[in-house]
Amino acid sequence: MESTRFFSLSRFALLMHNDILLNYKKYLLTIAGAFILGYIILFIQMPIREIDSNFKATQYIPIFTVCLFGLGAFIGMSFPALNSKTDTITYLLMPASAFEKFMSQFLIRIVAGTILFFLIFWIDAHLAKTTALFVLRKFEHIPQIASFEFAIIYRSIYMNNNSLMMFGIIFMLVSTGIYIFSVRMFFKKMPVVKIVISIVSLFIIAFLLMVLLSHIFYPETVGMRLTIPERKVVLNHSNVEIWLCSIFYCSWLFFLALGYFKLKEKQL
Amino acid sequence: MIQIKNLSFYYKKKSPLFNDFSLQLESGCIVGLLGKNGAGKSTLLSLITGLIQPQSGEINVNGFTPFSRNPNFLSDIYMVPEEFSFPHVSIATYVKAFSPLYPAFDHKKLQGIFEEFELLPASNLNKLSHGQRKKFLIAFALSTNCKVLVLDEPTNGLDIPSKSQFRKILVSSVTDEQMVLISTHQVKDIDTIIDKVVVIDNGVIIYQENTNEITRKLYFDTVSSFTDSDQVLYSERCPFGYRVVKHANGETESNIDIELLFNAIIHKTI
Repeated sequence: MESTRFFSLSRFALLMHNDILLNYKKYLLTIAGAFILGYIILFIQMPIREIDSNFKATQYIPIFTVCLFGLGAFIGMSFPALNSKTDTITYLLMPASAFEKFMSQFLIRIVAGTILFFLIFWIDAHLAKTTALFVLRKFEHIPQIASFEFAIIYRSIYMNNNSLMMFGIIFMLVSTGIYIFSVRMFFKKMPVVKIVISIVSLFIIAFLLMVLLSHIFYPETVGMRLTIPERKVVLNHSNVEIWLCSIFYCSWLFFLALGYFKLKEKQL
Repeated sequence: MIQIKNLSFYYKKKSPLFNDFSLQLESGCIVGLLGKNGAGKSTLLSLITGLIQPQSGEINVNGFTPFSRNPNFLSDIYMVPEEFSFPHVSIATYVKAFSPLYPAFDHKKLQGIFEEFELLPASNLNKLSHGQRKKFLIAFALSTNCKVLVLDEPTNGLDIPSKSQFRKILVSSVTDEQMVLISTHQVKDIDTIIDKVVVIDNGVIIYQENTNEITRKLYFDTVSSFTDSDQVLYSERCPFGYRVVKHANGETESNIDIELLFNAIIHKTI
């Protein structure tokens, strides 16, 4: 009996069934909206006139980055029941453990959300290319349009064969996603806006702290500049790389725990 | 069973709502929790259901600490809040989504209550009137067969026939293992169904008594006039004279006038 206090597969399945049954229309509309918006964003970047220059594979990267904000917004809208007092009562009193409630949202918002994001982006990119080529078919000179493949993203983050930084970037994105997911529980109204403000505030605070530390440890620092002496520490990796990676490699775990305990201790 | 010992709770540290509050309620009864606005009724219900955590003290509901929100505890307690909202789905979809989470859910009972309340499973919850939605929530709550049912102002928004239907359904569906805790201002709506009256004021229990004890001790009557020799404990003017409450003489019993009793308690005459 006690082991099922935290997790029971059958109860978790019922919770997922409950969520999908109540929200499937919302999810389908979100998928359709993301599909259309992604297609529009990609299509308007494609060369559709004779005079347009070729569309290189690397040009997908900034578009992909912009679209990632959409995924961030979807994650930021997790735990929709916590937006109002009345829904919060129903949600908190639902017969499932805090861990199961946390896991169900994690699966829907982060796992399923990310998989669908990649899938939608891939389909949109190929659809945008196909439609652009269809528009261009009447011209004599047709600009070249590179096909989208995930290797483009992989190559862009696997800079200088530096796998430490590649995983650093991946974990930075994972940490950001989990930060958005977990911190959302601290905000009742307009969570996405408040999350954006909190991220900006965090960056400003971190920057100011580093400026302060620069002034303390390196008195020659001028104004709002940072002094970070870089040196190779281990396996040709610099101290800055190791410092950044150690933050990103671990922070997602902290944010995950923060979110879980915030939900567990959530009060009306 | 609900057992509360030395409970302290405050929203603001300087003005505690409950201080050293204790209460014990046994299963198998319908308890009327009464009190003025701001007396702490809804807060007490939130504490019992585990929606908020007390600063100190102990709350035990059927062997569970509510705020731990153990799923086994949550599947045996159901709260009908005063204000509520529903997803944009039909009654049938809502039942399909939520009923499997309550192991003792009785679909036949739900169907029966739906017929009494004239609710159609195909209706969209958000297209129903407030009263109809409340009736649905009460029907769902009773069908869960949870050991503890917490109803916060259940008759608010119900029309007159629905109020009597509610009383009839509640009395017929509650078993000896269940406890129903009803918090309400509309005391007349529940005066014939409650087994116990608990009155709180400023976070303190100022009165708690079983209804059979009340009828044994007190006599409620309507008189055209009365004198000091009638030993009236409390009186209120009414169109035919006075509604009075006095000590029972042990020979005749009267129906409890909960509103009069409540006012007498608040005015500290009982």
